[in-house]
Amino acid sequence: MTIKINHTFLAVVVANVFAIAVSSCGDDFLDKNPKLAVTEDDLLSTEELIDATMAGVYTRFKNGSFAGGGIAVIFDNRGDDYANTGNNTYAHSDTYNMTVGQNSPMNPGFFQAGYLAINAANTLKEALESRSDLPISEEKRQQYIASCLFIRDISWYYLAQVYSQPYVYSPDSKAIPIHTEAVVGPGHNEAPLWTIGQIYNQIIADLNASTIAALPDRSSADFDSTVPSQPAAHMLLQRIYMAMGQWDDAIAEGEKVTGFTLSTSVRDLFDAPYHSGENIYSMPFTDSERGGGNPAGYISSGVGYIDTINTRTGIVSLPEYHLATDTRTQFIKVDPASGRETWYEKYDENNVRLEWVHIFRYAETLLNLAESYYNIGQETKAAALLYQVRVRSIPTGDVVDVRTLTGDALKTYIYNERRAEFMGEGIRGLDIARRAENFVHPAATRTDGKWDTVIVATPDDKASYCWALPAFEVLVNTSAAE
Amino acid sequence: MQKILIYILLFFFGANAVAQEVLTGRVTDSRTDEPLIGAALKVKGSSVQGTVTDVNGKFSLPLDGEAPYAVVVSLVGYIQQELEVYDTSSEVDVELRENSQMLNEVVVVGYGTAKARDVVSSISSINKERLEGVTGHSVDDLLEGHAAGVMVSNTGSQVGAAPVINIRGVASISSSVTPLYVVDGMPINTSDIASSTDYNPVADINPADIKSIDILKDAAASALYGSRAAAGVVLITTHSGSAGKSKLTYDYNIGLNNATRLFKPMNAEQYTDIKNRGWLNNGGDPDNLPYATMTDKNGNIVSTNWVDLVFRTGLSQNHNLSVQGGGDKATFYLSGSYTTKEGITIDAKYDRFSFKGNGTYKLNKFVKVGFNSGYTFSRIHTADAARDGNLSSIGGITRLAYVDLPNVPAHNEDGTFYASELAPQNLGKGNNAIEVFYYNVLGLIEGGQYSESKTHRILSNAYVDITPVKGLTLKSLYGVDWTLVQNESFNTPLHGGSYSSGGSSTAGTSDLRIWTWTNTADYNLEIQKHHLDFLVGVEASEQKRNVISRSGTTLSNPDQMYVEASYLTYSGSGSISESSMFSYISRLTYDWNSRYYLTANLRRDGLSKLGRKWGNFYGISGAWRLSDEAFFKGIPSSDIFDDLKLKAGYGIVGNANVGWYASKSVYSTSTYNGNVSYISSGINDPNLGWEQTATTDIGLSASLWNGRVLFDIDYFHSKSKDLILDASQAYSTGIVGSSISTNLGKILNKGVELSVSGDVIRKKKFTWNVAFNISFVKNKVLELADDIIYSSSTGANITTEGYSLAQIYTYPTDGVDPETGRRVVLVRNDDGTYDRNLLIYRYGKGGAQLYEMDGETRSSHALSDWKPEIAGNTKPTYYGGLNNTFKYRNWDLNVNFHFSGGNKIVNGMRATLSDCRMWSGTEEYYKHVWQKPGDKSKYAKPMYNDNYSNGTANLISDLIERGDFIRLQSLSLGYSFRTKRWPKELGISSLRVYAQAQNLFCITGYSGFDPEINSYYNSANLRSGLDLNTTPPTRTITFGANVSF
Repeated sequence: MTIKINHTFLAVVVANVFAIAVSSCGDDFLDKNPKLAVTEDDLLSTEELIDATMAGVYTRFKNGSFAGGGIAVIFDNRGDDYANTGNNTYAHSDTYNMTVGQNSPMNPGFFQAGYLAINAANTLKEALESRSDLPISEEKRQQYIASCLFIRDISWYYLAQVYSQPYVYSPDSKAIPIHTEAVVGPGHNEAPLWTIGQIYNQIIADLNASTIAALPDRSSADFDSTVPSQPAAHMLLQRIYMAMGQWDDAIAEGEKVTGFTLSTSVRDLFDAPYHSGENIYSMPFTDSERGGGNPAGYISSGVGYIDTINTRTGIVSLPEYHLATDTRTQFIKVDPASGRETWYEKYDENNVRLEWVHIFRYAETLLNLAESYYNIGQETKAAALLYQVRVRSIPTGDVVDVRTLTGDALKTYIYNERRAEFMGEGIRGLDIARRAENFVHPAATRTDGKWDTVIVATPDDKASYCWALPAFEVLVNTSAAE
Repeated sequence: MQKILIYILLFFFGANAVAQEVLTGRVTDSRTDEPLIGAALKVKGSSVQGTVTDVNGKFSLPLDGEAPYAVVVSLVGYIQQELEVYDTSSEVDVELRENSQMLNEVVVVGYGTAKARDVVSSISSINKERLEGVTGHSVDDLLEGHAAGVMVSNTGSQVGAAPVINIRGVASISSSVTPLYVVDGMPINTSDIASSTDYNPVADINPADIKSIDILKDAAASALYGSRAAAGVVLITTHSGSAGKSKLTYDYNIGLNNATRLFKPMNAEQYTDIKNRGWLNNGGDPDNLPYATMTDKNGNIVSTNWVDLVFRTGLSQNHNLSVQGGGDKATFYLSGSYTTKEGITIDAKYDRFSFKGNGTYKLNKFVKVGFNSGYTFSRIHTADAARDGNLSSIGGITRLAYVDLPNVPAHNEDGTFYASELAPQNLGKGNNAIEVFYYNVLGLIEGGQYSESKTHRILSNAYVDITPVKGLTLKSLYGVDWTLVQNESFNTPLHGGSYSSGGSSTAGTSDLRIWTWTNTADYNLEIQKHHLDFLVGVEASEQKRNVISRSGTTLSNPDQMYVEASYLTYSGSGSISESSMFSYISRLTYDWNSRYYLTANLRRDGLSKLGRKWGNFYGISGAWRLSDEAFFKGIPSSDIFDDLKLKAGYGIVGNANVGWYASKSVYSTSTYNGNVSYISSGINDPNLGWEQTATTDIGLSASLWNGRVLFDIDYFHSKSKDLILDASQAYSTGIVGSSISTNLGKILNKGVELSVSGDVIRKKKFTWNVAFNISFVKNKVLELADDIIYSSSTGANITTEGYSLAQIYTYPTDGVDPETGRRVVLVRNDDGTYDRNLLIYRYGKGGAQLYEMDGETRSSHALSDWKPEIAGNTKPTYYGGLNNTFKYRNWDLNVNFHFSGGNKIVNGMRATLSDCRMWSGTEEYYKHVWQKPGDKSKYAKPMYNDNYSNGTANLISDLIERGDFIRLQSLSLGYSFRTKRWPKELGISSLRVYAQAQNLFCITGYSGFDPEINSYYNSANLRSGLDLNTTPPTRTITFGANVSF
């Protein structure tokens, strides 16, 4: 018996020796940190990391489903200058057909990408606001805070364009859920829908004079059109004032955009290096983004074979916008199989797709001003601005002198020039909704040799005019249910 | 139990003439023919002392009394036999059969072994006999239908896919519920770390090397594995050789594999007809029909059956060679095997080479050393780019076989594959007006598209056992599990997704290295009838994973179609992950006279992945052998019980299958305008702790009529809490991944397991043994982070409180209206009632819209008012197996059924194969589509481009079917030659030829390929019951021979 007890004692001793031998490395052994990532705490520790975090906000905004091509594709498909023949909901056939439901495949991607940009911006903004001991200059801190505001504002703006009825239809139209503060943990699922009017007012408040002043100006030596700037902020405000029908304010914002010039040809903006004196705000694509490049090119090219030109009732069906001397008609590509004009290839680098996507360029400033001046009755000024844009692409052989136009004819030419100038850049869909016009598609019938159109969505029918909020959003954020 | 296999020739009835006779003979093992030493023989009811067999198995037993003599032959581990002896003039051969019913067998219990008789927790063992002659593909095949409470669901996908294994329900939400596999004392990796193809890490173990499998099901049994035991523990022991004659065994088999079930696709005329009908129904121009057949050069209508071209009968072969043996000091086991298996789709193949060397050596009285080493190389090759199912994937070979148009050819006249002229990446459109956006499936394969995983796995350990004094064993075991996967995939420049970029490839490696060092001290004490065992130990382990991947786009020379070739552009990525775990282990077992048992386990684990790193896990259990009690023996008819044991246990175990850095919120690199940018990778909970499962188990096990019938019943109740959940975060929060993982969930799994086995027939030459098990499991989610788990990634599944995991979440419908041919949809009102509406799709005229039942008036409901709802449970509520073993003379037959049910399946494949867009579908669709008023049809009136009415856009409740089935899982028939009678010079000790069949048939009401298909087998907890274009299961028929020398 005694012997046995001694054995037990021995067993315990030996086991403890083992234990001590192995556990000598202690808690260090259980301390494992990711080697290829940075923790939240480390992010603000150096200027390089703060710069990279700011760039991360831009990366989110540039997502292929959002500003990095998605917006262009969506707002061209919400329009009438292309016909989506792809019959594929993954290539926006339902965007084109105005049938985007809460489970349409491209819907959550767009919605989510927008909010990822918004929350990245809000998160960095609050981090920068709450710390004054950062290893960056105060000027940079303020610039980055303003840049974060700009990114969330422009993201709200684009989201509201598909989920809300137009402001001019009703400023009280329910739009999208809004978080003005960063979400960094659980418990923030409930976010009620703001109206389009509330959102526009918030954007105007965000981009006040002091915010804009913190952003780089065109005149600064290292002006970079790939990051938020003063002119970019003015452009966003110009669009918003136009959408609100506040033409004088829109003119005031547009006139603040100075220092830019139209490039020699529109094509210059879509061939390397993709920027010129015309770029105000653009999404850059570089070699490091190969493989995940701009998706807009695929959709509207002969490679994707999805968005084809609406040759029946689209802008190119009008002779004034199909002139041989119009350098923009070079974008029209003929399908070798059918011999017909089929594609409009601003984005034609199909293999690598590194063409930049332009959010704001100076031609829009001019045409926005033209439309705004027209609306306050300054037709001469409007016509002169219109001419500036048109003559760039049609230096000779134009069939109309737009400087002589007045009244409705001038309006039509301003509207149509926008279509011709920005085809493939997603402006058309924004314009239709901004003016609360009907969405129309070509019909299968003709009257007097011209193709008829059919109305596919009217502003009073939200179900077809707007996208439904994604199913997951409505399910989790019950406040978003209308 | 098998009756005697001896032949006693009765020539004369003159036995009385002899006063005392002596019976001589030999006792051998019926299976191995090896002599059995120490078998006891005794005349029943006689006062004369019995005898035991000598080293050659020979005996000589004096007989007493009158003939016929009842001689009892017994040996521990073997079934006792009774002989009726009439004559002693010739020697008798007694063959004893091993007791497969295990009562006296040794069961592996984790850090040790126990006698089955003394097991007081819930353990299922796959007995030796089941493993005998097994040549299956993977260990998981052996578990299916054989052990109560263990559900193995073959998901029926491509080569290399692992089945879903659930032991006693699903005890986690977001963490893997694959059980912990412990091979020869060393926990191994079971996660699929290959990226190009599916890879089943458990298939790296050659089933022929396995000696036993023991499954720990309740917390009392598994608590010693603490934090990793919530999903159960599968203990695998491989052969290590035994003392005695050396033996060489060679097994070869060859077999054929084909799909268990395929649908007949539409032919060219059917396809053209149905698609044009849709056009006309939409108001299309009859003179301008968009679809038309084409003719070949002989004037025949081109009608391509892509299914026939894609599916095939594959060949499989297995070679297994092993040598084992040993003496007093050392034992060894060496084996090598080669398995090759062609998949059921063209260009799919699995190869495995495995080598094993195990050995033990006794240095002296105190020290024993041993090692178990294994190396496996496997290669999984497939042309299928879409591995798991997807409703509308364009890369899946199974899907392409059904959607590719039948009215165009697969090949041009010159033998090249048929592609679109406009967009050569796609299938040609023939005489149809509409371009096809699917690929020519043969174009992909013939163009050289493939994915491949080549896996090198070293699974080895070495140990030393020191017994310094009697009763004390010190053991130190160090093991490694190293896996290196070479991932490759190539996309051809000739066709498909990489056509426009001129070919692309991805290649890289996934490397996982695990080491585990376990040190235990076990002390065993016996004082009279008290038996005490005390185990303490520590264990440390570390895992490191490195992944490197390189993608190339645009082949420099398009003719050099290799992954290794030069490409114009490259990109790459990589990851490093590390985790570590440290544990303290202890166990105390006590019993008094094998009648009262008490076991307590305690383990403390620390894991680097968590924020709150340390957790305590324990199990306590007791048992009472009623049959040994005096009062029990007094109960009338109690003598039918040889053994009756009541047991109960309680314990808490955990689940460590969480993400590597699950408690850290990090930012990772991206780029913006060529500069580095940092973006959030998601938000995690810094206080993340252990998932814990508390299990109560109450059971009764009995052995009746001399072991003729064995009976086990167990009730279990297991409640899991602090489950790590991806709590849904609204998209509008902008949180990456729309979720945050936290310890919030609670789940209940409860159920009853019953197993009964016994000999239905016990004749001399014929026996029939039946083993039946059934489990009823109820799974219920008690608490979730935000009441609901539903996202774009869970699709038609939703998980919410009060229901079992992964409920079907579909749009309510009520068939096709016979008058209008439109789908009847149910729109739920606020008061809970439903409005019946018709769904009408008109292309170019607003798409899908809701109408009143007259089909004319627009409904007051918008399409968005039609919302999905919970529509059925996807986890089986009962499952089990029925195993029949027949033996007749030298023939053996094993018939193993597996059944399961109580669940529902969404047959999504049916939706997409009845879609009205340009792709094709099944003949079944063509025959059941609505044509005229009054038709009772399954499918709605065809409308050009309609993607709603039959459920593609929104999966509809009309697609839901019952998932109950019974399957003939395996059938094997063998014949063992009487090698004993063969000349000794041949050296053959046994020879068996056999035929086996797997998945021979399945009885089910399910109309899809197979009720076990789960398109999301890689995330089965939250995604199940979805059948979306997944490759059907494989039926295998093999013929083979097994010879031992």
